[in-house]
Amino acid sequence: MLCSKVSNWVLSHGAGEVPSQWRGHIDECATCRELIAQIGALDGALAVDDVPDPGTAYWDGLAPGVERRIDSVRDRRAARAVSPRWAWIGRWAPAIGVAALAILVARELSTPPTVTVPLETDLSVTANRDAGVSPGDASEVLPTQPGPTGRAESRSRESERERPAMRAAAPATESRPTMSAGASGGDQDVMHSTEPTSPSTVAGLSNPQELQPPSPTVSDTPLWPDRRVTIMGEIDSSRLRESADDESNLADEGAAAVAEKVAELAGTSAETLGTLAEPNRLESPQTFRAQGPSDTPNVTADMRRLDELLDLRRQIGIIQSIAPADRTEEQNERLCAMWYRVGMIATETNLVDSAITQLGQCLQVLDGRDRENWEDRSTQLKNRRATLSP
Amino acid sequence: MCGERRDGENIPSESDLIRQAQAGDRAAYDRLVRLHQRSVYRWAYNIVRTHDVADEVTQEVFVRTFFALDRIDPERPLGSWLCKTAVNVALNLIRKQKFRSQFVESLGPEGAAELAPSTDQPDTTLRRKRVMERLQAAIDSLPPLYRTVLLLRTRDHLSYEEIAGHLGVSLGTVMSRLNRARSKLRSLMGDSLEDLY
Repeated sequence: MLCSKVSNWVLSHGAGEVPSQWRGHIDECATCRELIAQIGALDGALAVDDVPDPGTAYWDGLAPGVERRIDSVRDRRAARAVSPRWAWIGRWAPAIGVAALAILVARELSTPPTVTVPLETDLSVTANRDAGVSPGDASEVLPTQPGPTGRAESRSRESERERPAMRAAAPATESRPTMSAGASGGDQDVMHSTEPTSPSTVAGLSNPQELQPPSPTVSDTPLWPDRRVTIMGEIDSSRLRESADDESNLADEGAAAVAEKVAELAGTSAETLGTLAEPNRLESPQTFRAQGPSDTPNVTADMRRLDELLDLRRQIGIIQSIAPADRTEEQNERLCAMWYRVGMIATETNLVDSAITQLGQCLQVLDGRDRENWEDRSTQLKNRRATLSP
Repeated sequence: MCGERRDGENIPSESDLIRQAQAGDRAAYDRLVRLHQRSVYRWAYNIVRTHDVADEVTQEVFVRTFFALDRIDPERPLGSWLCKTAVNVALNLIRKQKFRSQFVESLGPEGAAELAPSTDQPDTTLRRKRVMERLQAAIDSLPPLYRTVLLLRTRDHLSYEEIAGHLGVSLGTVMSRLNRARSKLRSLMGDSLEDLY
């Protein structure tokens, strides 16, 4: 214990500044003594100045060279200078640029997104399924459907308000004993229902195209669809996926088609953005345990896995485009995290092998506790690899 | 400390020269350049490790400083400003692709190859010389940020606070980089460290 403290101190402060309270330990510990001797020798050798002297001619010519460069820069600036008549443009250029940028951003943000996460669509699936109503009749069950650009947050609130109306319109849903109304609140108690449903009630969902969200209306289009859309979209996405998985487990063709469509709508956009918006998720073993590698032959889970792998590949590519010497510690550690994640979610053995190799290389540049941490995770990957069929 | 060297005697004080240069006296600025040129070159060289690039960095530092004269406080040592600028310019140059290939060529695999232990048994002087060469190659192979902090500490004997101020980083970052730099250097040198005793 004390050895690591001494080591840490000596590596940071040098050999000559070891606190006196550790002297007793150092006198008895050969390892610490050797480290101190090495670092002392290293610092002593480093103190030798190895910068070559370019010679008198160089020093004499440097100042005139600087002067010439200053003149050159001045000439270039003078050549670029505009006449006073148009000088006001230069003074106002920053303001004009900011205004133009603001207009562009406003226009961009006011444009409806192309892929959305229609929570009500899923609700309607569950509710309609329970009620035995086909998706084409969804409007008969759900009073209003906000456009696809409606924010998830407002959708949640609206869903809360609409639930009594929905239940009134769908008595079969209301009467289901497994509905934990009020237990978790919101839509979750509806969506997490695991009560088996009669296949006959979902037979009408054979055409998943009908689940496409309605076209946006002017009143539904928010002017500033800010980041909350993404964040809430991820929450909706996870709920939708859970619901979709439940439906897939019904082993019903119609329900599987619905699940696939819902995941297609929700997973591809919100999941990807959610991964980027929540970097710790990549490093959290709890998350891995909670989500787990999707080894089940489930189309939705495979799509989700593939989507994440593609996103990881993109992010890894970005960091690997930086020369190793120029990478920050955070980037190195993030690279480790991403390779670890690849190894944990991949089901292809060659991909897991590759992740193990790459993680092994990445962690070489880490030090101390960070390295130990990633070595442990590398071992986890190897254990996982052993469980996969060759 | 960076900027404390003097090329000549009986010169006006640095703050006077800065004021004169700020007033447009080119000769005063020329004097300032001559005062600090060795320090700036030295620091540039410690980061970029080649004469040509160090020369480029040195000139760029003085050009930038000239156009920033009105922002320099004459009462504060110019050396600190110059060191910070030199480090920034040098690191930026390294990052640029223009210098990257040259940098990698000179410090990359070849540098690592130089670290391979030699098999012959030279006498003490020759062995010491080889160890110093290996140490130099090891220093060159360090990431520039680590190398900069380590050399600021060991060669220029700057305090941790001064290093933090020069590089514009926190004290914790300085300590962390020193720790990692020494640790890497130690592992790169391996058994040959004993020859430095």
